[in-house]
Amino acid sequence: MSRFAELFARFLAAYEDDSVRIPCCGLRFVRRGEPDPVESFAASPTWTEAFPRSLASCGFSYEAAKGGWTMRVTAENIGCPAGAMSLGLVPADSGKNFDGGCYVKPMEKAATPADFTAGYVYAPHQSGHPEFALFGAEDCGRYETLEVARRAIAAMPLIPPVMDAVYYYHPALSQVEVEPDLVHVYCTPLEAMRLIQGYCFPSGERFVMSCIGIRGVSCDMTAWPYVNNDINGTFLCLGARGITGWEEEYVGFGMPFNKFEQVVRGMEKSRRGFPYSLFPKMTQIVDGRGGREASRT
Amino acid sequence: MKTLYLDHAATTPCRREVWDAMEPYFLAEFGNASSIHRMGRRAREALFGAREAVSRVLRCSDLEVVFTSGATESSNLALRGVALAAKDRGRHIVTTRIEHHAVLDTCQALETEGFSVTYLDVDEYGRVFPEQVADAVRDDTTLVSLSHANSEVGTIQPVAAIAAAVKARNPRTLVHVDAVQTVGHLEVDLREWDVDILAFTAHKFYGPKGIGGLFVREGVQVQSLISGGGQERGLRSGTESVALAVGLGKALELAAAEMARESAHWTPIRDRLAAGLLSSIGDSRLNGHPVERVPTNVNVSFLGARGEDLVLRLDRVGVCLSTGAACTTGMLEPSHVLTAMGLSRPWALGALRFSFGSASRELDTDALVRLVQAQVEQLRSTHYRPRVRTVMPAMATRQ
Repeated sequence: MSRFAELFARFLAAYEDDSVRIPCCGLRFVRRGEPDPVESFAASPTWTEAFPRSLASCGFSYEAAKGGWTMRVTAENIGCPAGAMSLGLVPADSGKNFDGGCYVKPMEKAATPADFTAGYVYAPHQSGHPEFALFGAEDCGRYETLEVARRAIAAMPLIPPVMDAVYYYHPALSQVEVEPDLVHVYCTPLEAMRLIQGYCFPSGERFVMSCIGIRGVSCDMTAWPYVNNDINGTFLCLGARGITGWEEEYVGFGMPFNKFEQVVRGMEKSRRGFPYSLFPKMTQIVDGRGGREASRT
Repeated sequence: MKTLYLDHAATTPCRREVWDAMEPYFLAEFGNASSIHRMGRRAREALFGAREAVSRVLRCSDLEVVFTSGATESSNLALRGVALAAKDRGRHIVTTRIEHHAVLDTCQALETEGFSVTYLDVDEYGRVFPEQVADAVRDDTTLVSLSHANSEVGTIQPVAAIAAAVKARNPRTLVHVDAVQTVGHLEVDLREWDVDILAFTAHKFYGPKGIGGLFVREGVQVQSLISGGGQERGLRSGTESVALAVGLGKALELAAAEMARESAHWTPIRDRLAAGLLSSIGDSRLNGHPVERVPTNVNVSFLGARGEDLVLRLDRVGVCLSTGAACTTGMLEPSHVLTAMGLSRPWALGALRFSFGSASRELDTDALVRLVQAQVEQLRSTHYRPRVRTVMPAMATRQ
């Protein structure tokens, strides 16, 4: 069993609730010029060379975490220019054509990474680029003005554009022995609370999350943790929920692998201080005299 | 790796006898059926023979059979051809929400051209009812269009009763039946059915791809969509593919002769597979009517396991299936048929369609059930949490 699979098993076990199911995947980056561990990944029983639809980086994360798929992502097969920049697959001023990509399909003209960087996509009408609107003539953009869009973009970290590929894989189902650089975890707010309790247990320092409702997976869960070498949380974003389809009960965390170890150790140590069985769960059904029925699917 | 093909509703393999019947018309007998010399005459005779074969099986006149490139063209010709021919007496069409996109997309296009369309709701099994269809028919309704059996869930519609109800309401309203999933598999009797137009395609009953047909009852006015040499009684211009037509005729003859036997063979297998899947895998459901469905279709949904993932995983071990989900903007969208039947998104995305035929004669239902069960469990292990039932009587005291 790989270290990643072992830690993931311990992570789930730390909840002490057999019904807890948390989608999780690892990301392994391949820097230009460095050996590509493709053979290790291609040997996975869930390796797939080509997914039957265009996926953004949040889509690859979804398919790995929920579908258990093992995939290799490059600038050629990623369906989102912003994701390509965030992952370091293309530079921020790239004019690469992403025609046919899932994120740019609703646009009249497929935006390039450079168009994103210039703010044209997040403020299409305001910047005189209605061809990049996602929601037609009524689209108010993702930010009120072009200037505001550029300010927001400036605060969205990008992994340096030195990557050839990124592997996405499930800790257990992939059966891949390669250690990830980053870990993505998707969970309910209750499960997230427990995760943070575990992470903060040894240090007592507050967890502060940085997100903006845009690039929730590619930036908040990937570029931010990579660049800052720290854990980050997010409520995901328009693309992750509206295009990829991450359901409403999930929030996301991205963290370097060593931080994942920290989380797991902290959760294990803090079990008796935050007994998980204490908290009311979404899947409890009241006998018809009150309360709310919900189920997680 | 051996392949177990369970997607016959998508397409079927061409039979060897059909190929043998077609081959001369690709090679030595390559004449154009419109030519007046001997090569043309022989081609014309072969075309006539194919048309006769179709008319015998469907119980209509050979003059009422038009060859097209397939069911999509047939449905386009039926809908648009009738709508345009009858536009002076009405511009209203009735159909259902679960039709094939060849019908729905054509209807939507006609709506932008000044026609109005009523899309009937279906029940939880995907059925519409005669009185429901008749109630939607107006004085200006020129066409009712529905499928004999749904391609995704296999539910069979009572088309004869529906056609009768439509005619009782408005004798001038034409009835178009998309019989793509039933011609060659179930009885279709155009002497008994008060149906005016009926579409079918060869590759669903072990014939070649690229050829289909449209039954157009004598006296029904249809405007042609393709102008040119006036072939197919002016309804579908273009040099006929004699080889493909011969293949269609041969395939239909063979399918009709084996229909009863095939139905008797597959019905218990269908039921065994459905029962096995539902009893072995929790949080699963059968889609479509449990009894009134084609003998070769099982459509089951599994909560917490997407049909797309199951199709891809089972493909790795040689099993070919399909799911009704489609990709539009990038997000996986559930089948419009299942959505119209009232399935929620998680259920609809978890659908898997098994459709049997000659390429799945060696089907071992028990082994297949175990295979599917293992894949569903593995997929569910990443995220799916079954319902936990906890009765909390203390809640009754809360105000």
